[in-house]
Amino acid sequence: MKNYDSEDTKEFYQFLDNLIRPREVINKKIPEIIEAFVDYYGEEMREKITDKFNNAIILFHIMPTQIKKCCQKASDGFKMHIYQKISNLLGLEFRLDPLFIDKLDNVYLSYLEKDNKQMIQDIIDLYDMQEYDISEIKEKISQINPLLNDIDDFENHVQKYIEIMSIPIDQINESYDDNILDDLAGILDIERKTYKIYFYLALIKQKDTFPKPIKDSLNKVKTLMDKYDSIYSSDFHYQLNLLEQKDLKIIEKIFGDLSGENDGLIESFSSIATQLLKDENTAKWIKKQIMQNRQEYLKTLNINIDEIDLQTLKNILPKEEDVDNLLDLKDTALLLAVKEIYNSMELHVKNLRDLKAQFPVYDEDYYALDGLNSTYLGWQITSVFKADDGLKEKGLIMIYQGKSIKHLDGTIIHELNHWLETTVYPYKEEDEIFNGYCGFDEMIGHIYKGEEEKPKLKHKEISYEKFNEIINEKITQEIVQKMHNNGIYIFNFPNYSNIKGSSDYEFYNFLIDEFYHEFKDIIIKSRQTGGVEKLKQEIDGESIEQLNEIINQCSDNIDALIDSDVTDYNQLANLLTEYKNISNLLFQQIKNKQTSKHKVKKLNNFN
Amino acid sequence: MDINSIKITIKNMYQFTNIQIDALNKKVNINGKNKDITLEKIEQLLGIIYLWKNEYIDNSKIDGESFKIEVMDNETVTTFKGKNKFPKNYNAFKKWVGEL
Ligand SMILES: [Zn+2]
Repeated sequence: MKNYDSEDTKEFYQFLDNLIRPREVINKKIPEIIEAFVDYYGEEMREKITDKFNNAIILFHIMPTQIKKCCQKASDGFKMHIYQKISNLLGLEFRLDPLFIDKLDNVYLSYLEKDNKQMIQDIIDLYDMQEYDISEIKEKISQINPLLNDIDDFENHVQKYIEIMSIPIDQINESYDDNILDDLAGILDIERKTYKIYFYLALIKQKDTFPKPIKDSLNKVKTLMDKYDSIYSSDFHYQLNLLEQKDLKIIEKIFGDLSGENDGLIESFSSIATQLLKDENTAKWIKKQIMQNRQEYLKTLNINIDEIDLQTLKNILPKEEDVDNLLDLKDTALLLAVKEIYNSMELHVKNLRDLKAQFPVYDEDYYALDGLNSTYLGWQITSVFKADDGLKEKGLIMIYQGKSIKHLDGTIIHELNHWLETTVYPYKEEDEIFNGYCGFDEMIGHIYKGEEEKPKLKHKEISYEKFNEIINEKITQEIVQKMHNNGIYIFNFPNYSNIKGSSDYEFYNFLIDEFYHEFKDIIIKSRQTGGVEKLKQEIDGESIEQLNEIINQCSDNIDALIDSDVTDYNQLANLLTEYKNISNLLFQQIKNKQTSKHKVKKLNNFN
Repeated sequence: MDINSIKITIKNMYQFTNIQIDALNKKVNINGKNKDITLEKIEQLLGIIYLWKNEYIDNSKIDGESFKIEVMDNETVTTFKGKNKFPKNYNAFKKWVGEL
């Protein structure tokens, strides 16, 4: 039965329990995770590891669709497990052929419908025989029923999790009746509707400043809104949709797709657009696009430039500051919408409460924007925040598991290791920017003070991001392996804790394998004490730069190929061999230089 | 059309998307797969990105997603790139990519 994710249902129930309250589970496992890291890095690192992990906050959210998928898989597996038992009981050899499974399904269906007569018939059909002893079959049914009852229990249990994960947005849901938060599309749909309302409300407030056709359209929206007690009612949205299709086309053209996706023509009058027009370095196509949109704006409002004088035209054209204001309103509307949605979701309310407790400067807006990006993109990030006491920075790890959940442990350890390898250089209270490193990558950011204007950051020209990630994933897999060897699985379910294959990074192991093994101690140490600059001091700097260059070049050329739908395997193989050879040569060069460096050192010592 | 070609890359931990648009011949190559593309579709993209800043970068975040768009005309290459920080209508861009 090793094939099934539901090998032991109790274990699986536990796993599902864990998945729906991931933060609690992770926090509880932190002491064991610390042990795994100490086991890997050595006792001397215990203090640092403990301190770091106690100063990290991990937001872990699994998309409901992922939970559904794994429930589905598990319930299919569990069903087969029971069907197998039923076959044994009936003295039949269990086969995975569809016809046989179909017949077993029929038995289960009759059981669900409490149709005993039909069930007898289905079992006879399963035996595929003419003569039978009815009392014997009735006896068998009494033994089969409790087994089928197990499937029932299991499916109810699974259903419970699906429902918990699909928690509809309390207040909003009542009216947005058929929208449940079962997937990203659901969240986005509600978000868009809410956003639309906020934006209409903002526009209506300003309606008198717009030209007549726009004002008229906005008045229609207002009249409709006034008819409803709740702007969340589905009937209101239905009517609004009708109105939009009929009378509000102009609003969409001028202000953009109110679902928040497209720019409106009016944006071509913003100060940004005007600056672009004035700048002689702006590409022609951009200037043309701006001019086109401006003309289109006038056309949409039925204004013929030839028929009016310059002064009238000037009065008609939207003023730069009004447009800039409008764009701000659009942003505010989006934030309001996201916040409203988050505030009605227990998960986000709790996240924000905990975040605020750790970082009092971290506000709702920031969370909404961060969460918005992560939810849209379904990715994970590690970032650094200055704690309120001004003494120490804290790590914020946000994981929105929107894709596969087959590598739960690796995902968490990968981010935790980034955080462990993050060093922020000391800064003063009045500083606005912090600098530091995360492993071999640079780390630079604004010290979050909640203010609007932020100074521009100067980034390093050469990126060590890929190099950093490949090594980080390598270390991650080694730590996870150690954890698993000790029987520790964060979510207590090995089937969803695969070590290999969680990201594209490990594909490039071949470039650094030998280098990594030869200089592992130096590599690991420098990632904690000075980053890539330290590595360059310890191992020939020029060669490290070359290695990084090769990694960047190779990934630029190969990333596209490995995710390609129509990979040319010959081309891929040739490229791989080519880069493998270059990295081998480089490795030899590094080794030779390192040996002679040692010889010089020894000589120096001797002298 | 004033554009000759457009190159797009989007990277995150799980996926790499590489798109090359040949505007002159109305062809697009998405991760190695060739397709036709309409001028309208290309113009739609330009309409999404024309007011973007050249750079959106947040280097206080590790992992996440990055993107790069290069628009080539006869004279210049206009580059828009970002990492863990995105233009307001980034989602419109992702939707555009998804519908290619
Ligand atoms: Zn990473």
